[in-house]
Amino acid sequence: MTEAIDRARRAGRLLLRFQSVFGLVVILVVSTIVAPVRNGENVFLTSRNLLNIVRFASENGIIAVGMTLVILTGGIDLSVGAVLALCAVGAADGMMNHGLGTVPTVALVLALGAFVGAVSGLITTRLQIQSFITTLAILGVARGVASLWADGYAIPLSFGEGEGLAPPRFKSMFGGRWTIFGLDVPAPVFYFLGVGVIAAFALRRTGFGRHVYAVGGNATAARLSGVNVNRVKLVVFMVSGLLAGMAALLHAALVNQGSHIDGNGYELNAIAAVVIGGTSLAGGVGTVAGSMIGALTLSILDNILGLRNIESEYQAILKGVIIVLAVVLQRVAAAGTTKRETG
Amino acid sequence: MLEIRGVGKSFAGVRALDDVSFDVAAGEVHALVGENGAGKSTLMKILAGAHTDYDGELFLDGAPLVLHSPRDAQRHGIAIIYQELNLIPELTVAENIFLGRERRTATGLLDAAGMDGAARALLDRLALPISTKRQVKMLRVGEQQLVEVAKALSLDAQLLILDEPTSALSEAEIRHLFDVIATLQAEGVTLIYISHKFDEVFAIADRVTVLRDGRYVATMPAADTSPPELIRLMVGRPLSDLFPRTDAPAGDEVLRVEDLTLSPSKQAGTRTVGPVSFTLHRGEILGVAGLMGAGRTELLEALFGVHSRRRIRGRLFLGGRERRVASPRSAIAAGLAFVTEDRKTQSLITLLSVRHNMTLAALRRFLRFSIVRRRPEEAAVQRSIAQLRIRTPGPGAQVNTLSGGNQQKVALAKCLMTQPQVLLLDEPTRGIDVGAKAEIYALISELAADGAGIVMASSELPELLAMCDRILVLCEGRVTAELSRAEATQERIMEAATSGLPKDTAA
Repeated sequence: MTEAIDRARRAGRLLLRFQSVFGLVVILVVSTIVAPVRNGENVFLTSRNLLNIVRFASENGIIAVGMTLVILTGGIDLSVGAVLALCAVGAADGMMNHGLGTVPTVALVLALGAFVGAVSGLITTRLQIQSFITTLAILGVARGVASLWADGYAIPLSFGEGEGLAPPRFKSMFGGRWTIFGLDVPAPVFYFLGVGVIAAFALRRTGFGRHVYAVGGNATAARLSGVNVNRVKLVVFMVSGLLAGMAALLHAALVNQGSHIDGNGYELNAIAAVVIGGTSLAGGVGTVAGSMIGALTLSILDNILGLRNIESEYQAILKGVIIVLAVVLQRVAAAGTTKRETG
Repeated sequence: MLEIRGVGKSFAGVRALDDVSFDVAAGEVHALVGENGAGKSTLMKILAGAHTDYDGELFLDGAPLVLHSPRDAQRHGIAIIYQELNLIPELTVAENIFLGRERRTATGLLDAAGMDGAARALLDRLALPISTKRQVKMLRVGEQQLVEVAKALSLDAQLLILDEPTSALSEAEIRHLFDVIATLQAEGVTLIYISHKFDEVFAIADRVTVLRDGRYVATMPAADTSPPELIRLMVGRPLSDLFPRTDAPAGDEVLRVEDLTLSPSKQAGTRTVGPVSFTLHRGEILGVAGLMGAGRTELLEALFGVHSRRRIRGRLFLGGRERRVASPRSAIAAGLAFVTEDRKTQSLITLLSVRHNMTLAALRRFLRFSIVRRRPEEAAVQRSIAQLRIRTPGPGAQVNTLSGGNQQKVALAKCLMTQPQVLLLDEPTRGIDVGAKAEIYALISELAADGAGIVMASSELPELLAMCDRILVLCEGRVTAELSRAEATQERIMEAATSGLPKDTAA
C-alpha cells in the first residue's frame, strides 16, 4: 500500500521536475512546424541554427544558474546584468590598455564578479536588507562605475599580438568554436554545460546544496539546525556574481567590446529562465537543470520568432505570456503532488 | 443536528477515512478523540468545506448538506478553529478577526472604530486583556489561539469545531475557554471538540466519539466511560503505562549554568529572563515550569544561543568545560540539541523530505570532501525511522505529509542525529495524541537512561510531574522554586508559578 503511494508521489514529482522538459519539447515541435523552409531544408533544424540557439542560451543560462542558487535561498539578484557590464569593461580595459594576458584577465574578471556578489551578500546579511533592494542598488552602482571606468564609451577589442591589442587566445577561448564529433560547437556551450553540471552536482550532492534548500525552505529552522545562514547567502551571491563575470567574458568575446550598457535587462531574462524551469521565487524548491532548460526555451523562442521575422514588440509580448503560462502549469502540477494529509 | 453518514476520503489511494457515521445532537459538546492518523482532522476538514471530494453524505438539521468551499460552511453556520493557527502576523488583532468581513462606514471606508469595539467585546468574552490594536505577531502562541477563538465567535457559528484548542494554553486560559464553551452551549451552540487531553474531554464533553485508523469505533456519553476505556478504544489495546519513567541514578555533571541572564529585546518587547543557575547530571530530567510568558522558552533559547550574544550574560559549563555558546551552530558543536515549541516554523523544513530534515543538523557526519555520502546517511535515517517508530511512506516523503506526532518525531530525530549530551525540549508533546505522547515519553526516558541530560519545558504539569527528577519554576522570568521529584506537586508548582504576580492577575 505505502509502496503504491510512494510510487504515485514519485511519479508526480517526476512530472513536476520535468514539466520544463515538456515545455521544451512543445516549443521544439511547434518551432519545427512553423519554421521557414529554404531549398528543401527546414531552417530551424539545421545544425548550424541549433548550435546558435544553444550558443545564445549560454550567456543567459550561465547567469540563470547563479540566479537559481540565489532564488533557492529565498533571495534575488537584480545586479547580474550590471555586473556583466562592469566585468566586460574590466576585461576590455585590462587587455587593451594594461596589456593583461588571457589568464590574468579571466582571474581578475571572475574575482571582480565574485567581489561585487560578496558586497551584495554582505549588505543583505549584515544589514538585514532584502536582497531585492540591495541588488537593485548594486545594479546602479555597478553600471555607474562601469561607465566612469570607460569614460562613458565602449572599449573595443582588437585581437592580435603586441602593444595595445588583446590576446587572440581570449577570442578563441570564449568566442571561438571547438570541434567535437565533427561539429563546430561554439565555445560558450561548453562553459554553459560545465557550469550547469557543477552547480547541479553541488546542489544535489554536497552539504552546501542541502544548506541552500534548507535556508530557502525555512531560514529559522535552518539556523536552529546549526546552518550558517548568512554564510550560505553570502556564497550564493558570490557565485551569482562570479557567473555574471563568466558571462561577461563570453559576451566581450562575442561582441568584441566591453561597454557599460552591456547586459541590459539580463537579470530579467535570467529570472524568466529560472521561473520557466520550475524554481519557486519563494525559495526552497527548484533545480539547476530546470533553469538551463528555461534558458534554452527562451533562446528557441527568440530564434524562431527571428526566423519568422516577427517584430520585437510581439516577441516581448509572447515571452510574457509564456512566463505566466509556465508558472500556472507549475502550480497545477504542484497541487497534484503535495496534497496534504493529516489525521 | 448534524448527521454524518458513511463518510470516507482517500488521499493518493490511501483510505484516510472510511465509512464513518455518527450524529451530533443540537446543543451538545461532542468530543472527537483518536490517535494520529485516525482521521479526525480529515473529517473536520470535510465538515469545514476544505475537502470537497469525499464519499458519503452529510445532513444538517435533516437537510442534505453539500459544501463546496469553506465560505459555504460559514454560510451554514459552521466554523472551525484549526490546530495550526491561521492568523496574519502583521495585522492587528481586530484586523485579523474581521479579515475578509471588514465592516465599512456609510462612505465605504473601513469602520475601524466599529471593528475595534466589536473585537474588544469578543476579547472580553474570552477575558483576554490585550489591545485589539496589537499586531498578532507580538502575541504569544496561546494568546493568538484565543484570537482565533474570538474570530470564530464573531461568525456567530451554530456549529463550532475546535481542533485541539488548548494545546498552547495555560491552565488559567483553558479554564477561561471552558467558561466560554459553557456560555456558548447555554446559548444553543453545538460544539465538536477534538482533543488528546482526557481531563478536558471529561470536563466539558457530553458525548465522546472515538475514531481509529480512519474508522468509526464508538460513541458514548462521557459520563459512561473512563480514560482507560477511551485509550483502549483509541489504540485498540490497553496502554498500561503512559509515563514509563524509571528512576535512574544520576551520573556526572553534564551541564552547569551560572547566572544565565537574557536581557529584554527592544523589538519584541520581552522582559528579562534570569538570572538562572542550575546543574544537570547525566541521566537526569530537569523540568521547567511556569505560566505562559514566564520565560520557559526564552530560557531554553538562551541556552541554545538563539538570541544575539549581546543579550546573554552568564556562564555555561558542558562536561565541566566552560563553553561560549554564541549561536545554534556553536551550541550543537558543544553538544546541545533543541527541540523547539513550534515544529512547523522553527524546527522542520516542511517542503523537504524526512531524510533531508533528519540529517540537516548533523550533516557534517555524512560529508566526505563536502560531498554527502548517501549510503551511511540512508542507513542512519532508516535506523532513526525504526527507532522512533516514525510512520512515513518512506524517507523521501515530504515532511508536511506526515501527521503532527510523526512530524514531532522527525524533529526529535533531527536533534538526536547530532548525538547531543544535553537535550533541550520545549513542549515536546504539544498537539500530539496519547499514543505518540507515550512513545515520546518512552524515548525521553530511554535517552536519559543512556546518559543524556534533559531539560524539558512544558505547560502540562502532569507530564512534568511524571517525567522530571527536578523542576525549576519560573515566574516573570525569575526562578521562584526548585522542587525535587519528592517535593513537587501540582499545587506547589502553581503556587511558585504565580508567587511573583500581583494577586488579581494570579487567579
